[in-house]
Amino acid sequence: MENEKNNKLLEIKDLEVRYRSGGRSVHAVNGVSLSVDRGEILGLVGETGAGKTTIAKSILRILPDHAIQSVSGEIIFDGEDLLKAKNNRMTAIRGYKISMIFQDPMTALNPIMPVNKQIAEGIALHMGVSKREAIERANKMLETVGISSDRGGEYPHQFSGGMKQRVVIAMALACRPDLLLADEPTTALDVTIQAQVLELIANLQKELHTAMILITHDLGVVAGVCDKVAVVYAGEILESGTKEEIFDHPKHPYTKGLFGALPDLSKKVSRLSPIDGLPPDPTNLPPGCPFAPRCPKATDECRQGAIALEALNPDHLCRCIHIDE
Amino acid sequence: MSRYVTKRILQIIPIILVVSVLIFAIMSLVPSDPITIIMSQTSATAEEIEAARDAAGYNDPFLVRLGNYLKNLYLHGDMGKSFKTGSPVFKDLMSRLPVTFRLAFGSILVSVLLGIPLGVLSAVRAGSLSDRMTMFFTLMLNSMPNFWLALMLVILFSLKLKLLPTNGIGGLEHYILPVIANSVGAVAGIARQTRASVLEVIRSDFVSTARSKGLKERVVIWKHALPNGLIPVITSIGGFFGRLLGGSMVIEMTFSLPGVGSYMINGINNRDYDCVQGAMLWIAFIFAVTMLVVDLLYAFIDPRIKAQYAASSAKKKAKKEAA
Repeated sequence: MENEKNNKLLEIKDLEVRYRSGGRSVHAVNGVSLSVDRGEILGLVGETGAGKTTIAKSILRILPDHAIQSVSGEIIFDGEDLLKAKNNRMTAIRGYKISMIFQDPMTALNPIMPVNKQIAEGIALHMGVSKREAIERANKMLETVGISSDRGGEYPHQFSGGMKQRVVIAMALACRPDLLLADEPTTALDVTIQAQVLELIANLQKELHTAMILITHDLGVVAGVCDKVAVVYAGEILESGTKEEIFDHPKHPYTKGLFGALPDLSKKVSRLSPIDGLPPDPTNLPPGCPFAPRCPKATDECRQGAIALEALNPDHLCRCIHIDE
Repeated sequence: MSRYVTKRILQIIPIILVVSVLIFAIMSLVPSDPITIIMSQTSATAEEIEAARDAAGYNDPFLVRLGNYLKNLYLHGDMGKSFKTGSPVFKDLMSRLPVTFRLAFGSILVSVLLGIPLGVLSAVRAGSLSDRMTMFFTLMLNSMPNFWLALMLVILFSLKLKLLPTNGIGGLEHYILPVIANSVGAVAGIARQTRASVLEVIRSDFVSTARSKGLKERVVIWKHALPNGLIPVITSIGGFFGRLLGGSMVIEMTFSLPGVGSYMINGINNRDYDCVQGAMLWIAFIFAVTMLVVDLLYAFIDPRIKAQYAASSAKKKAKKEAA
């Protein structure tokens, strides 16, 4: 039991994030709770705008100040509530204990600074080494992600998209963080490069025993890499559990819908079945289940009160009142 | 890169050539001339004046006069001499440059050292009260005519408080008011430009990346955001500086500083062709040089622009070899 407690690296409780937009409040994240153990990979799956990136950015507390209305809940990382941490405590954690890989490598690097210098910045800051030593380590890090260290002094525009993402990965892993937040790390890349980059991340993650939250809307990626999966919809987790549970026994109509929208080569299906309708407007969420307006099973009960996340078994949680049917 | 620099330096030659022709043409359109102005104050008759104009060559056809001017300027390096004082224009300009330089460097130093931090602070606190106050005052200062400000400063600091001299040259204290009057507009302009460019950059992904590395906000802003927003700021600083180096006519006149600007104004008042042409040539030359330096600074700041410069000259080279 004691061991299990120490094993828990990150625990988010009731995270709520509201943005301000043109005088209206946008309910981006609504009571999300999740946890990640050391060395574990959690996949956050959901459509664009479901609040996945907001969850990741609130862990690092790098949400844009000017747009934020409120952030509440708890984000316990290694026994410390990050939402209550002082700013300089956060700068000590960012890049050292927790680091992030951004979605678009084209814009994630500073265009006017050599790549090894960008990697070295974090190393010099957190590892307390000299600038020269930091540059040497940065070059080694580049080798680790498959870029010749000779190219360390080059600028981002001299690299291809896949190479840039490798640089971003090198930067994120340079200080061997305990937790890596990977925000759709392969979305902006060519399909052939996607597999390489994903494999690189997964290998380094194992090697460094880093826990990871992998944000994606690609179920194939989740199947290949993750240990656990959480399905996010309109800022809420609708279903979560181990990868096997979610993939083999999806319970929530939304999760089922997601799988239905994927082509399955083993069956002969003439048409994919997409989910009808659009995600709800985050400035005006429906009172009950956020998925009710699109759900084939929805009843009046679904549209009334909030629906609790219930445990079907220790490895599977689902937020739906119609699972037994 | 060195090919690019050489090319840009050579480009200054035709610019100066065209400018000298244009200035000469414009000056010929100005009614009256130095001889008429001087002799009409004496008891000379119209015939005598006309004879003197003939002798000075003012009645020659335009193209002949232009040819003579260009020949003297480019073949003999002679900018002519002041009709009024008889001293060579080149020597006059050289003796007046130090004053103009001191004023220009002082003003640009003050403008940059105040304008950039003000703009950055405003951008970081965009929308706050301090930001709105800064923007309000910079707009006001930017729209304030500098001669009026100069007069107000003189009234306050020289006449009322008797702290600083009203005009003339001498020690450092003679430059304080002119530098302030000259910088206020530039501080405001640079601050507004800096704010706008930093605001544009500050929402970029790479700024989030820099934050996610754990860098302090100060480092994120000054090392990552500002340098990326610097190009338009450098452009506006270059514009201010080029104009200042050409002589701040209004301020030099207001404070009776013997710089290039006041030299030109005096020349215009006296229809002293050679003086005006000489001063205008200097303005064109120094502006072209400043803009060249600005372009080179772009390459220094942004490796992508540097690559572009290098690529454009490499392409030409390849074309030449192929031909």
